[in-house]
Amino acid sequence: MFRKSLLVAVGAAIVVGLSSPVFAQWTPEEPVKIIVPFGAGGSTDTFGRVFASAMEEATGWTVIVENRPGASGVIGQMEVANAEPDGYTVGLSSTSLFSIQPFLPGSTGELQPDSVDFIGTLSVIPYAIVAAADAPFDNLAELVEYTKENGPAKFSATSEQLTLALDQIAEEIGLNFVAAQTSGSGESLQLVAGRHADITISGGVHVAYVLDGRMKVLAHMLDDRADYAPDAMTVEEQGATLPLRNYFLFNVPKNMDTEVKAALADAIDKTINTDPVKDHAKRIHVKLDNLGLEGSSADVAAQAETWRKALSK
Amino acid sequence: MGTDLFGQFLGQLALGFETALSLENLLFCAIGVTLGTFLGALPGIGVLVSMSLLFPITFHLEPTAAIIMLGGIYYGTTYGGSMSSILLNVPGTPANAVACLDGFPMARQGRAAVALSITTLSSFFGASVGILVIMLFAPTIAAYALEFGPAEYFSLMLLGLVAASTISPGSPIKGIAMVFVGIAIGLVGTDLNSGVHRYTFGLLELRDGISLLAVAMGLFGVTEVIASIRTVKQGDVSRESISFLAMIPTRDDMRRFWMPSIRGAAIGSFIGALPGTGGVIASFLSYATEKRVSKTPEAFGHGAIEGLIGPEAANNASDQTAFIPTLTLGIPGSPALALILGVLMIHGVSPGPSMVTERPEMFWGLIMSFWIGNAFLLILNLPFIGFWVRILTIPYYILYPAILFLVCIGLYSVNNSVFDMWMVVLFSLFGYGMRIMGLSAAPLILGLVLGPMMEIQFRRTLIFSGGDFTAFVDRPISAVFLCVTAVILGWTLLSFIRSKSKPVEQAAMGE
Repeated sequence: MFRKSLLVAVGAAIVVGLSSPVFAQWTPEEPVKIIVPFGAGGSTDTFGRVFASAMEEATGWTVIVENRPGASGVIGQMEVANAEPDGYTVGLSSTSLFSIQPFLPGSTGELQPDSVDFIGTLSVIPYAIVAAADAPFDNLAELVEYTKENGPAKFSATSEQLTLALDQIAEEIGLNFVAAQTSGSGESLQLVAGRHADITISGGVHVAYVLDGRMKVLAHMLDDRADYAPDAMTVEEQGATLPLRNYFLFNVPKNMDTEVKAALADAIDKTINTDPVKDHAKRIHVKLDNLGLEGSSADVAAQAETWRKALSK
Repeated sequence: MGTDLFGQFLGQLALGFETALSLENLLFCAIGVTLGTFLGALPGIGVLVSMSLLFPITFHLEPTAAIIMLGGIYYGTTYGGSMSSILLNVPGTPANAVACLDGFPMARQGRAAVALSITTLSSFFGASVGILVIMLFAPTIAAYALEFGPAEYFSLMLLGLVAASTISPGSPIKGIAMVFVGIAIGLVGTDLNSGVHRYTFGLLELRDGISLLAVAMGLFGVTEVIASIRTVKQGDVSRESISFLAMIPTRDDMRRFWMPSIRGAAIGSFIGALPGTGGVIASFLSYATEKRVSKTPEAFGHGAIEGLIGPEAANNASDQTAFIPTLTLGIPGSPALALILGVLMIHGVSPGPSMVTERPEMFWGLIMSFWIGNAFLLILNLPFIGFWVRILTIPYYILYPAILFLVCIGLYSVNNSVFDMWMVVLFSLFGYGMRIMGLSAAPLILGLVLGPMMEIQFRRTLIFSGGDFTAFVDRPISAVFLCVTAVILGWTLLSFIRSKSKPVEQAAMGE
């Protein structure tokens, strides 16, 4: 059955021509498993599950989500990298796992930017530098002023990648800070809300806090201001370069048949435009943005190159 | 004004009950607590696994029904978890590890039914206090919990460690040594601040540290199986000990019920409201307290009923108050509660102070469902005690393989990782060695839980203070905790010196 559909797919590819977009003919005969290398209930997992059920409706396939947390996502992504490239295993994680993580000083490097192939993105993770609402600074310049009098800014860091990102921004705007790692965004926000730390970088959990007035955005780490805090400026508006664009990123094992890969990429693209996915994006205040098959590979490669250079210094 | 507020409060309660008593919500509450108590009783299959499995289903439910069900699983597992601790010496969840210390000896003495019924009662009592605390003080406590910074957490945990390090029966030196072994095991993994891998030997699986569950299963459950094989001994189960009458506590048991329950519930309610602490710490602290206030501390570890009552009230109370930071601040205290937050987010509800005002039916519905859920648990657990105790009559050649089987399945289900099962094998051998040497496993678990947390909070305090140690005493709450710690240390030392000068009293065991 699989062979037959493959033959049809190859036939179709010849008719249409080998340049993309290939008209995808492959249909799965088993459930497609999306491996989320983070815990259940997190932002990637939540988005992944909403997406999976929308994908089932849009394609008629059976799509299941499996959490495989550990080693900040490396364990689950290695499982994707080592899976059979038969189209039944798809990974959903984020760009920095491939673009920054391999070059970190402590990394043993089993996961590399080219360990898997990339087939699409959901949106950029809406990172923002946030502080408690009653903190005596409203933007990066005021934060820099504040630290000149009160000593280095206390940064509660949710991941090593985000510390590096803040490092880059700090260098450009002359900010002095100390970083203490936390085990998750919940803990980071708790430290900031209680004013034990001055700032943190959060990837979405903070939105509810900003909306109900307990926290404020000092800078959006996005290309444009996000709609939930339209008055806060972006990092670039405040004189620094945007250090990372972290996408929710779909990936598959290498050496996958072109038709199967195209079919998966098509299904992702089709699902992105469905109402449940749009609704969820609106709820978590992100802009849907699928870079597609080629676009996402190029983006990972470009970001990885930048970070490889920056971190080998 | 006062009557206004009171009227408003009653209105909210009415709204809550109305929501919680709707047919759908009642049904999902019942499903949740039933699943929770059964899964909790199976060693290893923890709350997180059960909740993750049901997570996808919650998409298709009303959000209130969904969190009522997940909440039910959450506090239901702690009820069930003590069952396997008492009957098999295998803690159903890490928070029930303390229940092994005196529960299992009670079962050995033929008092399994009483142990189970009194545990259910103290669990219900603890949970009720926890719910009352949520209803009356949630917003106040939430604001106060935010005051807890790294320095306060460190001092509180140091207090917990010092207070509880001598909880094991026998030599206190051995107990303290085991705490340090636990801390050492806790060192394995990725250092949070520098990203350096400690003692991982290049193994990917060790980067997140050694699984607490694997250690607990190995040291308690599998060790118990190995030890029992050598001395095959059927538990003392006669016809009478599984009759309905056998589970009725004696007048003496009930006399000893109230104070430990009240102390346990108070400790649990306090600890639970602090994000990131939870049932394990609450139960250990309660056990330590009971042992310290007891007139017969030497009976602990040999079936002292207070050592079962206090901790079980504590961990159930902490399960309830753990909802305070989750619901009022949107800060989940544990991965399981993060999952409940995830459900709320999927349904477009953002937890926080606004939830109480914007979605009162959901907030109060959930809290009122706690009453219903706990009542269900009481009804569910008491009549089944006879049935559960019968487990002890199962021949060992069926029971032991079954335990090992359940431990393996439960553990594998947590991370889908075979590696964790090898860790159980390793720690069961280790645990057997410890047992031969007369070393107790409970202090090791305590060190393993508290060690890494203390290190993180200690370093965080110093990073933020620029290396200034006065940060620990500058803040009043932290200073108070440190003072109490010093007093306990002094007291222990003093009583140690006194006992040295007196002839050693042979402990009268509670047998």
